Amino acid sequence: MKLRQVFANGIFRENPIFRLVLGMCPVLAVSVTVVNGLGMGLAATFVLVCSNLIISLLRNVIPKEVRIPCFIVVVATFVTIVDKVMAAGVPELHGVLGIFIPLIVVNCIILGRAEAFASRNTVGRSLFDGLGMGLGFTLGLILLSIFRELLGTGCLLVAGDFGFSGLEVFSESYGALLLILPPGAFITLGLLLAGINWWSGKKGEER
Amino acid sequence: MPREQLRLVVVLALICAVSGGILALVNRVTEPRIKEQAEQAVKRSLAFCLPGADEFQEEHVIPVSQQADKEVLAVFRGISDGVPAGVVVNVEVRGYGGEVGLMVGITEEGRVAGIKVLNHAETPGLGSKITGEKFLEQQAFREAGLDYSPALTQDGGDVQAVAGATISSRAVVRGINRALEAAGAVWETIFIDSARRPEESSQLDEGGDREQ
Repeated sequence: MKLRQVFANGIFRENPIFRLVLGMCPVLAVSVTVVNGLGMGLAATFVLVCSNLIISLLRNVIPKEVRIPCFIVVVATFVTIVDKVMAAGVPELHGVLGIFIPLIVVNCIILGRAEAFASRNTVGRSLFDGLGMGLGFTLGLILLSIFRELLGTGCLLVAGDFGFSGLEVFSESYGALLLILPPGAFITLGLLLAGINWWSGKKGEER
Repeated sequence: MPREQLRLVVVLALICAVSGGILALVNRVTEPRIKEQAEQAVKRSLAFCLPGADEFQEEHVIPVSQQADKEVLAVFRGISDGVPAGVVVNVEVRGYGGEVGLMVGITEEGRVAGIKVLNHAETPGLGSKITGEKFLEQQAFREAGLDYSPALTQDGGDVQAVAGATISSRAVVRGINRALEAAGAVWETIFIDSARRPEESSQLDEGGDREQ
């Protein structure tokens, strides 16, 4: 696979949310608004790229018997860095994502890529894999939260903590409240997964 | 111990040590900024709730200690040009999804000047609207004061609850009432202790009367 393909792989063919169906806990929880989804996606991307980089650098040093604890220490270190830097730099976003940031440690995408890719590939390829997977995760989160925020509240890009009241597309009283409640996360994700599977199945038949 | 096993221990220990070192460094850099941010956030909320004051002083005695549920966290005295200009009370009440932290400013006339939701865990898109201007800036809250406790329309008052979030709205109203009670309890200490001139103490008597 070329670098470009490694990168695109994470976004389309092996999209973490819609293809690998990994890291569902933060996906379901933060996809209430687009801004939250974007913040979570970027934080996870940063951790993923950094952990992929370090783990591929150390891939010949880490003995395979203790690789999982080593990966977790590396991932946890970057997560803590993100947590502290966000708290110091963007306290508003940190307030919103606060409880989900530490959960990146156990996000299966990150440990999964460390185990399945970074520990077996060169630094360059691992970097591109991290970027692709991270962007795929971010785009998936944004797609999911566009549906939930728009149909649930009638607004888009609401970021009250940053003093941005968002774009009102239609009146809030027509919003389907269910979509921003937890069941709405499952329903939206399920429908999106079904749609994507149907679409890719159809594409497969044509070939 | 065989060499191979020793290698496992050494590699893992090294990785942990390096991580620990990096984290210590990051913590050193970010810690003061995080503290500063938290302090500034408190200052911003205080200034928002009591725009007339230019300085705030925490009252060390929480006056409503008779409250077993500890809903009043802190009482601040707002000072303008050296004289008390009002009171800001930080309360925490139980909402629908968890604790709702509120800051309520009360002017020296005993009116509610500003309300700010500091933290909450209400349902996003529903109860979370208690932080919005539409709810907090409504006329009924402007009329609230030491002599007039706000209540939801459902409870016989005239505060319009957030649609579909009565429990969250009621929590805010309860918080404001707790803040008013706390302010009422410190009212005399704050305004008597500092009132030296007779006209100010007479003002205070008025405030005391209103309370009843």
